[in-house]
Amino acid sequence: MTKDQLTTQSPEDIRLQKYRCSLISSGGAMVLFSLWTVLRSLVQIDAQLNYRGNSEALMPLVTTIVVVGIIDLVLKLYVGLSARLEGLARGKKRPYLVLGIIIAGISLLSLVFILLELPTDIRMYGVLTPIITLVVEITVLYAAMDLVISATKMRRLEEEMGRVY
Amino acid sequence: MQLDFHYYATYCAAYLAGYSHEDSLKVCYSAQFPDNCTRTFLAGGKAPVSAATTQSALEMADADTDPVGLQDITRIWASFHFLPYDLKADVKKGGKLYRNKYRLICNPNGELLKETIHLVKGKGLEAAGMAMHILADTWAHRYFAGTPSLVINSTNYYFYEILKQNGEWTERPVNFKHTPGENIEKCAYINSLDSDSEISVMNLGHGRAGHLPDYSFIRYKFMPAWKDHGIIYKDNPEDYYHAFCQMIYAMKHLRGEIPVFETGKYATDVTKPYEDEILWIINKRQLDACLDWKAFGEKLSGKEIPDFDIDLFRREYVIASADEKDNTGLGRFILAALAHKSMITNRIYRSGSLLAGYSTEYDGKDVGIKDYLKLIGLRKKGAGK
Repeated sequence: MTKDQLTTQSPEDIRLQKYRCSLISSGGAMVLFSLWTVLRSLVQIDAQLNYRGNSEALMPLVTTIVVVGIIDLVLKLYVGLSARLEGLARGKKRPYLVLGIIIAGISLLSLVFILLELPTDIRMYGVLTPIITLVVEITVLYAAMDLVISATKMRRLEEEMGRVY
Repeated sequence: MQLDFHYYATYCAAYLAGYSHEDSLKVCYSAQFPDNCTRTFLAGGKAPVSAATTQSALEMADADTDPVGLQDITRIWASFHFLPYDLKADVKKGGKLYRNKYRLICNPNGELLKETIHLVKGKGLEAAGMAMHILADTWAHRYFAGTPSLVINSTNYYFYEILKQNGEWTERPVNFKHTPGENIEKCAYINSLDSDSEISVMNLGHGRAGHLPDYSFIRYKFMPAWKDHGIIYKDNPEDYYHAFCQMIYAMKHLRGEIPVFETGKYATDVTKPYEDEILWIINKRQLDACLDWKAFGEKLSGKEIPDFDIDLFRREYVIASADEKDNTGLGRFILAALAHKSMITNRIYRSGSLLAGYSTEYDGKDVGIKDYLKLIGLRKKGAGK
């Protein structure tokens, strides 16, 4: 490579860097949200224990929360870390885009569900937890959409520039 | 830049500009001094602390980041180490605060450099040395601002060294760390801690780029926050050579050989016979080039260049009587530093920014912030006589 090739930047390069930065940020956000999932699951289990006491429905409900929580955690961690690595142009490219779309879809459904259940949840958990959950879910949706859009645009631009790796 | 360039290379430049060995020593001592003249140092010699030209790591750790504290930091760093290039720069994005910070970005050959040289002309060797520090730093510290700012000074994952290996130009990622010990071969350098706070001192100047701007041999590319995903290629060998040639040109002007100082002019005719040697020193991959510059300087003058002694100025100042203090080396340096700091503060204030604080004018002559009583006192004393 010549020094000029290494040190000059075309407008496409600038756009590419913008998408990369965006991917790194939304990937980082996804990793953080995976930790939020753990926290939220613990709060939900605690609330169920207090609300349902020794009810027969408790065990299946807690099991469901744990299983869903683990799946959510692994999914977001995988997608977030993979997106960050692609943004940093490090490591092998992983098939995380479809999973990112799935997270966005689930997040959208969750959002609708949270809104519908908001009055009940406020009665059950108090005002703070449902509102925080709502705000976080909106942010998850935004981050997931940003991740998918950035990754798609970045890949398309890389193809146009002949830099697919 | 560090001791190797501010002290030894400035000695070489001063000697090539026509100063005698003794005068070159005074110039280079004063050129290094802005990196040592902290409040703690001045207080130790009972000198006016508002003349501080730098802040030690301890002082930085103790510095307040309220608006007044930030103004103090900005006055020091923007005046002596990150001279703003264009205080009228048009910025297409952000609000007034962003615009004001953007305008503090340092670059060579700005209007303020002209004013700096103009201000020190006829003020002695100490003032000339101080100006050489400021001039040289405009090359080394370009693209960073002398104010704590995340949106201007922060860098990100995109940081590569550009180097020639086996005859081919190549790039390799810079590994920044926060523990002592830099390694050129492993491309491992120290930088300041990552901080998301806009006003953290971690985001002051080139802290996030580590000492890379201070090493003459290195070439690198990075993505500063203000560039909107654009990259900057920094060619230190080229910039350092320009700095060296411009110092000679500026000192020739200060000596009266060149009537008007113009930006963008370099004394390449003077350096031509030594170009290979100078470029060899600048390009040599080493963290400290003191020995090479010292050898070059001693070869030029045939005289020994003593090591930099931080207490040389202070000893003379401490033993001088109250009336004589202003005529000592440190006394003259302090007056030059106060005048320069006042001028820069005033220019920043006049550009519509309070980042360096308020500026007052006294008798239409002295400019600066209100605590520069020393200058006002001198003016009164002069008028009384």
